[in-house]
Amino acid sequence: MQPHIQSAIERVAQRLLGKEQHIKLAISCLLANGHLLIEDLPGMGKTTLSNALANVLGLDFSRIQFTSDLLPADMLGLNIFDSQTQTFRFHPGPIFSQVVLADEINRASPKTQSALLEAMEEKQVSLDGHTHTLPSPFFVIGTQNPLHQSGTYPLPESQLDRFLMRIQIGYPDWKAEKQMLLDPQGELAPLAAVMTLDELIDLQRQVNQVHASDAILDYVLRLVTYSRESDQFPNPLSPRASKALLQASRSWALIAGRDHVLPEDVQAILPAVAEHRLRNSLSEFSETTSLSDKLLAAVDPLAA
Amino acid sequence: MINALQQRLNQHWQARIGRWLDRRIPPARSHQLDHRNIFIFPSRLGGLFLLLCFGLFLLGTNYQNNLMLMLCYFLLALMLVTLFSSYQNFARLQVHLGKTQDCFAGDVAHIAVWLNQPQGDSLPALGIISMRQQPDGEECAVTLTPSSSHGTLSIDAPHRGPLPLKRVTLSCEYPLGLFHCWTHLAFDHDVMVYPRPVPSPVTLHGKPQEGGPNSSTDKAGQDEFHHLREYQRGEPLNHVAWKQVAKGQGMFSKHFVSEQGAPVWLNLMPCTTEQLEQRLGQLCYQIRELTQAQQSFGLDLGKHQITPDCGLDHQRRCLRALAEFQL
Amino acid sequence: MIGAPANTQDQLSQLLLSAAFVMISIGLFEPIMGWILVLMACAVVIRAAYALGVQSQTVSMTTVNLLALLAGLVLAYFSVQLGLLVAMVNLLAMACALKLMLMRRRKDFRQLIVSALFLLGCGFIFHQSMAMSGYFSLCLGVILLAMMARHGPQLTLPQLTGGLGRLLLQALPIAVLAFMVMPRLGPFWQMPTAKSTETGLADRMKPGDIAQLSQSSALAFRASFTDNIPPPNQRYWRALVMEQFDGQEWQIAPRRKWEEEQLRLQNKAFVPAPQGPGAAYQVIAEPSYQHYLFSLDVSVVSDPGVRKRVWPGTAYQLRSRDPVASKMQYDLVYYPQTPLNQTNYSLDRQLNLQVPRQGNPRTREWVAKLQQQSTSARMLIDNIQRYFQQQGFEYTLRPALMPNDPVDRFLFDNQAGFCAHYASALAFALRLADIPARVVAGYQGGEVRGDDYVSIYQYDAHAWVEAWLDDQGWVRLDPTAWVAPSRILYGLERAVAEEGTFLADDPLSLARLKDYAWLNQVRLLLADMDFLWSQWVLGFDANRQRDLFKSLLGKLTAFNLSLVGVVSVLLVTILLAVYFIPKRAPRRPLWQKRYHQALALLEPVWPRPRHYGPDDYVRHVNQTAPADIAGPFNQLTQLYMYLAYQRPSAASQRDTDTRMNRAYLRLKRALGQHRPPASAR
Repeated sequence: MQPHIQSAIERVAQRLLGKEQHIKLAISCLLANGHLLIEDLPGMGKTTLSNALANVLGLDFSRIQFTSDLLPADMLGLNIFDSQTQTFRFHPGPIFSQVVLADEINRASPKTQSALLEAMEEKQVSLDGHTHTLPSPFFVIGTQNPLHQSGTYPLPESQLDRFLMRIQIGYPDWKAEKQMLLDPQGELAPLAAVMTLDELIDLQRQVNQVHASDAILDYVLRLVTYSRESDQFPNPLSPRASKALLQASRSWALIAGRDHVLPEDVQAILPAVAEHRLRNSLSEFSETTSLSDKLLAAVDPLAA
Repeated sequence: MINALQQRLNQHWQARIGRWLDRRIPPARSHQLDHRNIFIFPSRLGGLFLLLCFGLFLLGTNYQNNLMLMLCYFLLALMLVTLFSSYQNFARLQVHLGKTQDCFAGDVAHIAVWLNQPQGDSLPALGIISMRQQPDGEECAVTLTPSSSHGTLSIDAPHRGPLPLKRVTLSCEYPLGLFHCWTHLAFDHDVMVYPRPVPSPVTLHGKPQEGGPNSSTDKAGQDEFHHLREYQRGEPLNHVAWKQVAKGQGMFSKHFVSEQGAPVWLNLMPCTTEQLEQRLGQLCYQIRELTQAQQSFGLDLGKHQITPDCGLDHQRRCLRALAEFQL
Repeated sequence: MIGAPANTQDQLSQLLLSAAFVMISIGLFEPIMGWILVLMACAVVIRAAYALGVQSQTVSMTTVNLLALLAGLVLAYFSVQLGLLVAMVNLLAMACALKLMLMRRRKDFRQLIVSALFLLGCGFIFHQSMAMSGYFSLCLGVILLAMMARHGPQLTLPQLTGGLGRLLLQALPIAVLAFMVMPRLGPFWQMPTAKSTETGLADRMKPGDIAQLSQSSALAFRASFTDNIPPPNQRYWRALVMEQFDGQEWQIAPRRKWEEEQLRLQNKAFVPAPQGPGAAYQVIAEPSYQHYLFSLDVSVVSDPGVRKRVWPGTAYQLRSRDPVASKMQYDLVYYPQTPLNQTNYSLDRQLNLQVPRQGNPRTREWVAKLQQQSTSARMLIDNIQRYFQQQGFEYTLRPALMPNDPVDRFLFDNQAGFCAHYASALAFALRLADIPARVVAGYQGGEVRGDDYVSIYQYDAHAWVEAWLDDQGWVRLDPTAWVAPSRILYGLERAVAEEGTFLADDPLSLARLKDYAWLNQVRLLLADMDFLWSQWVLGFDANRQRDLFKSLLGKLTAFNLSLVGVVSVLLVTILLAVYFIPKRAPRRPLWQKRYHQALALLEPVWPRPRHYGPDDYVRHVNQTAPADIAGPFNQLTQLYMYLAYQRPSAASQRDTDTRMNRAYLRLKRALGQHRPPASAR
């Protein structure tokens, strides 16, 4: 395994106890150059995770709390008239940051949501005819509260797939929570970065070089095709989804220290990558059987 | 008189064929095409082709021209080979019904039919498959691709209830168009046609079949969206109805209520048969409205009751109950 | 019907069909009239422009209808001089061209395909050479490709060609079998034949005519012999016997024609009684669009099948019932020792003493003188022969023109000429001397190829004389041989070598380039191939079919024949089965096969959840299976995962197969040992 990644995971794990799998998913999402959606109840450590991630990777971090009265300009920035130079000067908003935590994204009005999603997709902000490039790497962690949806604007399905992965952190286990209670100071101290920006970009480049053999491509295609043909899935996986699956698998394989993808890598990331794409909408969040598990169980990775 | 007789004979014949087909190709969700369900016969081109071969044979014999005879035999041999090859090509396919979506009466139901090919076969099935619902459905041509491809059947759904899906004819003439390979497949499916929504105000009831409209006592609260009111300064910002603001309809705030009494019920009030369809349409509309507002509700259809819940699954359950009501 | 509009989905097929029409039109260049070719070219250009999207509108219906009316009128005007067959072919081509302009619906496409195939079939009436057959096969391929392109729009051209090639290869053996086994029937009714320029000898002969013919290196016919090929000086191929002389030219006597017609109407054939041993041979005549056939003296038609087509004449010559419009094959037996004295002498004498009243006075004078010197007919002939040899007569392909009294001019002034001059002069002289004599036109010699066959070309055309000698009947006299013996022994080329006139008008003829050894080899090879083609493909008739069965089966009993039927049906069935028995999935590499075999062995005992990948499963097996099973499976999995998911280097791939095999065998052995406890689980 890459030493940088290993130590990054360890450090973040000190903050978010007992959630190593989720941390790995989050990091692989970042390495695959995708955005992350965390769907959880408040107080589960969403902010902790994003903050810690930004810290260990040596990226600057900002947080936007989404509310229904948040306007796009509050997030993107404004052109402010400078009376001295008699010109408009661009005043960047909080989105101009390498790691952006968009908290409670479904509370914002659709207008603001789509401004964010557009920025995520294009990695730039257009304002009054001027284009402002967002910093690189640009990594959005959106959070959504699945319950208490009164007065919210759930993200439309078509826009959910702008997020490479969706994870749910969930409650910590007994041991981890106890550890947390024992060491209340742990959360406060800032984490030291484990890699430079160049090293991070190099890692992102390495993800693209991870070998995905024919057998793997076939497996991914079988998965995707199955979701299209079977009637168990309200929303079949799109070609964008199959690309996302492959990219995330590559990045997962890199974290595992391999230069090639195994079917197990695909299986590891599939719930995070595919679940929110397969679902009809948030309202079925409470449904117990996971669609991605259904999908995984139905497709044999060794089918000849 | 003769016409009527002909018509009756025709009907009788159709019925017999239908029964025979039902025995031979029973309905299923998925069909593997094989000798049991494929029919093959020379196409029109094939008929002309045979005629041509006969002509060449006559000409060749009369002129004692061996090359012409050879051409004739070659074309016949080719036709024989094509018979097998077109059957084989067609028999590679696996046909199954894809996702089906319920629709509303008066809409057109779109039903995806998937044509799959077993992976790893050296020769994939090729050509164009034309699909048509018997007897006079719209035709849909699918150009096969090596892995899987699909075509969509468009079927008019004029009445509520389960959608009647007649046999679907699939045919193919690959490779040379000399033979027409076809099959009549019946599919197991569960497409339900909901009543056509009739816009109407949402009328909620307390307990099932009790009291009049809006009989439950409301108290301002946080749980359920109730209505919009003009925004007044001091009200919390996250209650502003931004959708309306964005539409330029002015500033409104949403008002929520907490239910104290029983959950909210929609019910089918006693009505005459003429009013029934209208009433079902109204209920259909209301169910959709309530689901969109993410509000929980129950449906009371007299004998059949669905307990209050919310979400798309619940909506589907309710709409299906409406669709099947008294059918 | 498939409803997709024709203009989107099958541009390729339209282009291919247009190409096929272009190719067929080129192949039928001769019978099809020029303006129809132009019409076809227009149609193809319109269709191509439409298919390539240069033009978006097809020709309107009215335009085409008007054009059709016009074209039909013009064709009707020409049809009288074209003859029925060619007119029909032209009509079909014209209709195709118009339809091609208008092709819109599926029906149009169907009709065009079938018409194209029919036109192609008609092409074989006009051309049967190997090269043209190959060309027409190519056309057929393009037509079929157009059909396939229409029904498989997802295929590229190379894929289409591959798929079609497979079908054609599958159909070919069945077609060949059918060709060999299907019974050959006689013609059902008389068919119109193509009016075409007659080639070869004409039925009237002026002295210069044969010299003209000698400029052609075209094949006249071929003959193959079962026994030895007779030497060149016995290979006199009789074709026409001319008994009427008007002082200038010789022709077939009308009386003889009439007589033969009478015999034919009574269905009485003149069959000479053979004497001495006979030798069988076969002739494959090239199309000449005339009636005469070629035979050695004295040939008898032995085969009843052949007798229907070949009619023996009363001058020992053979005639075909119909003009020879395509290659014609017939079997004969010739008896070289049979005397030619079996015909009606009085008629022969009456016909063959006829001389014109006037003309050629010097010859008359000269013959009278000779007659006085000679006591017998034989002596007179010797005297004439001596005259030719002593006066220094020359054999030339460029004789001077002799418009008046040609015999006089030839005998006394020019003293140089071609075989026709000699034959004409000799026959005239003999008639003057009261010896019945006639000119026989035919071919002499020919090119011997191996032990099999002789090719006779147009330049082998020859004319000689037959004289009636009382004790022997008709005796062949060849005055050319007296003057130029090399013509008879070595052929025309040698005879005129000094003059350099051999095929002087045909500079590109391969026959002229005999001096270049390799070119000659090529020419002879082509001739061989053409002979085999004529004999086995074009000439595969009922006789040959019977011979083939005889050689295969020995005797033709009912049992044997039904055996042939059963065997051919069986053969076709086997062929079809070979093509279409469901093929197994393409061969997987050995490592994949071994791994999946191992899975098949293990899964019944240690079930694998459907979603378990190789890594998960091997872990599962490791935990639950005994070490001697887990060990080899571990190794198999490692190798499999290396080959399936990594980038295996070529070097490392080499020994994986053996390692895979070894691990698989160990696993199998271990499983065998554990069988009882394993099944007890």
